[in-house]
Amino acid sequence: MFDLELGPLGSASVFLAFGLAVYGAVAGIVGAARRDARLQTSARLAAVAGFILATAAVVVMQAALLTNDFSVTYVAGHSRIASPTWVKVVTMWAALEGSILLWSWLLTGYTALLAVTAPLSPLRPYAISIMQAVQVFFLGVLAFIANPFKVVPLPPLDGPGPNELLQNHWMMAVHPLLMYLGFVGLTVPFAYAMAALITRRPGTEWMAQTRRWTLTGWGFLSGAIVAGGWWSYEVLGWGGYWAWDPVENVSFMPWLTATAFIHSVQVQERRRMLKPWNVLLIVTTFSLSILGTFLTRSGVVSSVHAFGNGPVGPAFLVFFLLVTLTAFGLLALRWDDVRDRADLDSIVSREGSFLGVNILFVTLTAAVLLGTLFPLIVEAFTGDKVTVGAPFFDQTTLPLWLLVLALMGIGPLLPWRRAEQQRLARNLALLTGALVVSGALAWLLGVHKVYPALTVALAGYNLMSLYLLLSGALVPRLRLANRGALHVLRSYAVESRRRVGSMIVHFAVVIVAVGVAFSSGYRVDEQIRLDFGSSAEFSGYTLTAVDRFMERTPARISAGAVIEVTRGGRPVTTLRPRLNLFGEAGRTVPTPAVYYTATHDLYLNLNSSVGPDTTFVVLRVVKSPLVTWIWVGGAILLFGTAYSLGGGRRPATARAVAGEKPEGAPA
Amino acid sequence: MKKIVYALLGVAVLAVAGFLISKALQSSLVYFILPSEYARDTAAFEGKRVRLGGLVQAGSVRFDDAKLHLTFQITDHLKDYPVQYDGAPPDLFQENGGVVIEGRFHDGVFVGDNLLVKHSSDYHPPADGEPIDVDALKESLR
Amino acid sequence: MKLRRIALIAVVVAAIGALFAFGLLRGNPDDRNITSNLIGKPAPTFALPLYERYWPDYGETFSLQAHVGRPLVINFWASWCLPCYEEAPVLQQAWQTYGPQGVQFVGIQTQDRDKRDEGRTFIARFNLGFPNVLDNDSLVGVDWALYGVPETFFVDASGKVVAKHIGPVTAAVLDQQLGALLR
Repeated sequence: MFDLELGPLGSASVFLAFGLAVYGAVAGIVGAARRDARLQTSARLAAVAGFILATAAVVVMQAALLTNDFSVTYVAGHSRIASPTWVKVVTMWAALEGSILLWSWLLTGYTALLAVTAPLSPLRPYAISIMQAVQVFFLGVLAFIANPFKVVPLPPLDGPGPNELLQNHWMMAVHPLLMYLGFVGLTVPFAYAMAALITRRPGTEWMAQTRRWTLTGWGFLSGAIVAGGWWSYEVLGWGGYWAWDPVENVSFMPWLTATAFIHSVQVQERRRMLKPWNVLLIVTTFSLSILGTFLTRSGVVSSVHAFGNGPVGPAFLVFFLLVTLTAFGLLALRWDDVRDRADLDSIVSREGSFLGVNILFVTLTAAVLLGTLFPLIVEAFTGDKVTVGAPFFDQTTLPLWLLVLALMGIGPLLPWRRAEQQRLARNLALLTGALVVSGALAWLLGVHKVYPALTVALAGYNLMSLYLLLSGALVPRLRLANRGALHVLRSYAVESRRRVGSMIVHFAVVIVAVGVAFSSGYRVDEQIRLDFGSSAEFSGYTLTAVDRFMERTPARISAGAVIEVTRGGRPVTTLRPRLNLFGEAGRTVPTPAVYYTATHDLYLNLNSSVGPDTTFVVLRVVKSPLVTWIWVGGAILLFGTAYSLGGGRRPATARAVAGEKPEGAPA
Repeated sequence: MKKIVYALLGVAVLAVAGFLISKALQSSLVYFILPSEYARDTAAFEGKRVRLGGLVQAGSVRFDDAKLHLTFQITDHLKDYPVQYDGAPPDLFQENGGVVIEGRFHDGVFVGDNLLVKHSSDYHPPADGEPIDVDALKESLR
Repeated sequence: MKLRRIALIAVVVAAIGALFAFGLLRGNPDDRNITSNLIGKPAPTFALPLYERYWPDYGETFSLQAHVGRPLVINFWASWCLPCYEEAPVLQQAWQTYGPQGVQFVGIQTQDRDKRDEGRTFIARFNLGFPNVLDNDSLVGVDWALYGVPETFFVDASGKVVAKHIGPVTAAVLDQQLGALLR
């Protein structure tokens, strides 16, 4: 055995990575300003070396977690010997210091990847330097404010383990990872936008070079939000997936602005418009991701998921203000270079619809931001303690979502510049027809609530739009190609990955929208008391409490009820909702039992404790229609995003030709 | 000309959004109050949705497990009011423990629908003659 | 023009910063300063099995009742709790100072079911001279309304709880509380 102290090793890696980030940020900028190729190269090498060191820090942390080395502060404070291996791995991002380590590591990874793969351009050295400047902040926090590798002089024999809610579901391994991948991915276009401002090259160069990064980041962030929703659903025990809690809101806002961004960059790519707007959006996206971390980790807004108030709050606040001031200040300085000179030809055009969707997403962001910060504002001015309830967010965002769905259907059918009257009329007639027919159909089938009915109508309208888009693209090809329909479809799907990918994503959004509308509009939620051996009826099902059970694993003690579910006398399934106690300290957390079906979910949560002498249980029983389709839609959305990214790079000319024709109508 | 149209359009959108937002804010702002704050101005909170914080008065908890109906007195040592709640008492619900319950007051009876137990409620009942620190209680519950 | 724009941005950012700074400074509840329900009340009694090394001096069971009449320091700890390791040497030091002056210290290992070996290791590592017991079912912890570990309670000679400290105790806290109790 050799004697290896993990704590100092990890600290050393972090400090060295911090030093390299400082060097790289300075050397890159100076090298670019002086056009010194050697300095620029050394900055890129520093980026690669920084990633290696950050990887070393992560490896050290994992080694410490897996070997239960309680001489490392983070392990002593957040890990536990009895936890299963996967929980130990995941414990790295179960608490603040570890999540910052993960975030820093991903950031260095993206920077290194950029340093190695980014094509040579005047923007590159600045962009890499800005990535490294962001690293300076994160690694600085890690090194000086929240060092997880600090050595514990008298290591404890065991630790308390991570937050109970986090060890209760494997999704918690995935959700934060996706979220940080998303945030870090969107840092790349931010860095390039800043580089574009510095170099006075606000053209399409910066966004063309970051298109993949942007889409990847957006995809990961979307995945994180869906995964977070599913985690809430499976763990929190109230049968819902979204509660407009500040923690949810702050991860949602960067997604909203990023969504606006991926749409508006296309206007700049095609029409050289919205230049300052795009810079504004990506800066906002990046600062919102920092703001979110500040808000949730500092106790400034009160949330159900209390993270407590650590020492990093002020640091994140200062960084947020610094980023906002610098980025907007730079934009103001360069305003004369950035300003648009072209103008909209007509509002009824592709760019008009993109503009509309941008306004909608920014309004959505503003509403969510206002609702999240309003309690703070009220308290600052009146001293009253208030919360803004979910009804606020529902009332403000639902009409906007419907407008988003409406624009999503018509927008892709409009050509650039100006729509031709005749074609527009035909498309509009077909879309309206689909809207009315599906709305009426929904009404006849008993969907009498406004939002679900409107959502169904808009879903039909969007499916018609997708059909028109696809047939508009395929029909002329079929005519020309003289080949089988399947072959033509396949070759179109391969040729126009970007368009097909966006169709898949839009289709997924329709599915998610329907899932959300029905699961929230037609949710049935009851508390039922069941004596062991007796049954109760719940919306067509018969629930029978047959037994109780106790389970003991090294990591947890659980107690639950065995509930037999029958429908019309026929057995459907057996559900085992339970309560868990992880370790000796802490509170019990529920594990609801869910019976998933395509039309609805039956969700049982145990609302009373079960002991050896309990004679009855209290169950919260929730039936939510179509809720599964939210997760399915989320998966399709990710597939669509990946699809539009896949297939390798094609020459820019080929891409331009493929997208030249206004599609959505026979040529 | 075009600029004016866009500007008007923008203003219209903003106005509609602003109207919707302010209306929604008015109706969904939920005040966080203590029993004594309700007592000071009962008319202002009557029938309005609030989050009521306080401690569970010892000896006042009744749970009807057949009907799943929970009643208890909520107190901040200045005032106390009866609370009615349909459902089982949550995990860690205990006498003298801190709770925050969302619901409405009707004639001095609080009908709640969402009951949260606060863990860090180490606020202590004052000894005789000791001043009552309502702010500390409120802070400890938020 | 440029200057005016930048000044405008600076003002807006400063306003946002001020709002958040208010949020940070608003005084988040610091539970450490909030005292317990038990203050001023008689200490909940308990009788728990002692670790073997204390048998010669205290017998096999430690009963709080038997020690009422002198100032008491009651410290709750667990083998998995990092701050407990920080405060253990402090407690031992204070025990050496205040024990001879008539203060009784007792350590209660809680929220640590069946961790007897770990308890012995903990005690041996810090060579704790004051008696330590195991609260295997954590029920005494419930009686004392523990929020977490470590927590330390101070009981006066009449058996009333006079103070509670959440988190690791420091020599200063011990000196202050015990100074008051011994006066």
